[in-house]
Amino acid sequence: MSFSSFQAPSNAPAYSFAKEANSGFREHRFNPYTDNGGSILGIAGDDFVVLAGDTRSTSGYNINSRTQKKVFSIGGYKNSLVIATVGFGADARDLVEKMKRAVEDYKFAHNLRDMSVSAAAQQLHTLLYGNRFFPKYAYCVLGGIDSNGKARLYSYDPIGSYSKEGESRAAAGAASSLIVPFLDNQVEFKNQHTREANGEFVEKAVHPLPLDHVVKLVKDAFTSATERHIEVGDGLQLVIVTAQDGLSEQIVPLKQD
Amino acid sequence: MNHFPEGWGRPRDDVYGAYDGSHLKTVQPGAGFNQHTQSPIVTGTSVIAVKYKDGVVIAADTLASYGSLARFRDVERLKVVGEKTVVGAGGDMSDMQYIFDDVLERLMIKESYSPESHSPLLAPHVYTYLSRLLYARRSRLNPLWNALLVAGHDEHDKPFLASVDLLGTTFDGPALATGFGAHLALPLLRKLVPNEEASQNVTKEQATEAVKAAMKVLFYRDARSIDEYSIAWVTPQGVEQSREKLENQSWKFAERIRGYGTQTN
Repeated sequence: MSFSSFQAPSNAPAYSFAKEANSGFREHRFNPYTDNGGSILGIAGDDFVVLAGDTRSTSGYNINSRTQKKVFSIGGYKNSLVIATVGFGADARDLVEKMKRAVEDYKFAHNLRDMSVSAAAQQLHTLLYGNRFFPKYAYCVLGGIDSNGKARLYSYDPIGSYSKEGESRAAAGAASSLIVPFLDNQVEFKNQHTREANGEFVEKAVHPLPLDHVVKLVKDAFTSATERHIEVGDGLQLVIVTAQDGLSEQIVPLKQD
Repeated sequence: MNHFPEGWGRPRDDVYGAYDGSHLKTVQPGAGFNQHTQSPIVTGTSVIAVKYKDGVVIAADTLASYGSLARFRDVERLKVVGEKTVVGAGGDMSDMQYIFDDVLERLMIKESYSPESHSPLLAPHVYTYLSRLLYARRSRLNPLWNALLVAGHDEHDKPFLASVDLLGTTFDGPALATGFGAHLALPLLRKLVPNEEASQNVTKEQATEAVKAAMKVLFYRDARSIDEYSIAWVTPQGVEQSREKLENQSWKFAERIRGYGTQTN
């Protein structure tokens, strides 16, 4: 620190945002986090779960990669466990590696029984909360099929908060604020009413959506997000897990601009 | 009883003398405290690389800057690891030397002691190892201040190119560039190889031409670059390396430029 960077107290008004400039000392430290952009989304039907993410990885205004996947299969019950994760890419990758390992270890520790979705959900919570004071800066959505053949979907914040009841839809990442309201309306029918025979308006009844309809919603959500968010685009990785057919993946092109 | 909690669980002062807590201190008397790298000192600029039909071409100039001083003009920033992998490094040069001369050398020595039947050390292995190392170091808040490109092949002889930086961020692609190159060279290289499929139809000559053109653009516009660079071609047959000097630069136009506005001669 040199003397030239020291500033004498001035009579200028002391705005809160001017504090650093007035203090004269600016500490320059290593920042262990960054944001690699992108968005993820999950929708649970009755007996299937769809997890999707765009394939762009960004660094500021740069595109690192147009083909970086965000959705990963981690094995488990009927090989149905899927994690989508977004935020700081290195932490996200580390989480997925650790979860894959946890699912594998579970098999060895429990007489070759596969990890259930609810167990994996709790495991992911423990993993995230274990890093409470140096968090893994990644938002996760975990999906799978439970032992009754029903779809389960869980969503997490970076320190592991999640709902054991699960969700019908979840979105995270750069464009989550664009996608979530759309899903509220189209998956949970929020603010939608139907007119009864007696002329009264009642809230539209919520029912699980069919797979082809969900896939349409996911594609629409991502093409919309691509239009309005610079960090979303290039490709859409769509992973579908069904109770009958297991896991399938497809990549749908998105705009590259 | 002792009414001072800080004395509880310790040998009694009246019996054993005053408690010597010196060994508990993280800073030993006389020793300096641990200083982690907070910013790079001697630095190398961009590394750029492109995949082509049979392999990968990678290039980095030979300058190591000390701030804005072009201090060391003959620094090799490409390292051949094993027979079929090249690692290119930008960022802090002392951290690069640690990775090149210590980490990777040790890795190669270890590999050469494993049995013949053992599958050879390939680019994906070197890459996973390095990305783990860089992520572990950032997680200890003591980063290796580098951006690395790893070029080579996977076990099916398919070209491999991937990047890792000081935060442990990893990604791959048909063309990659670190530092200034990400802004200046990558748009040019992506014109040649917009995606993986396109890179399979690119010849060695085309890829080399694109990399050489990009190195020239970087010398024009990056104030921390130099007109001499190393370039390497990695194919399943091995690594070919050469040192190049920039040629056919375009400066003739400059003599017609006068003043900053109204001045005409």
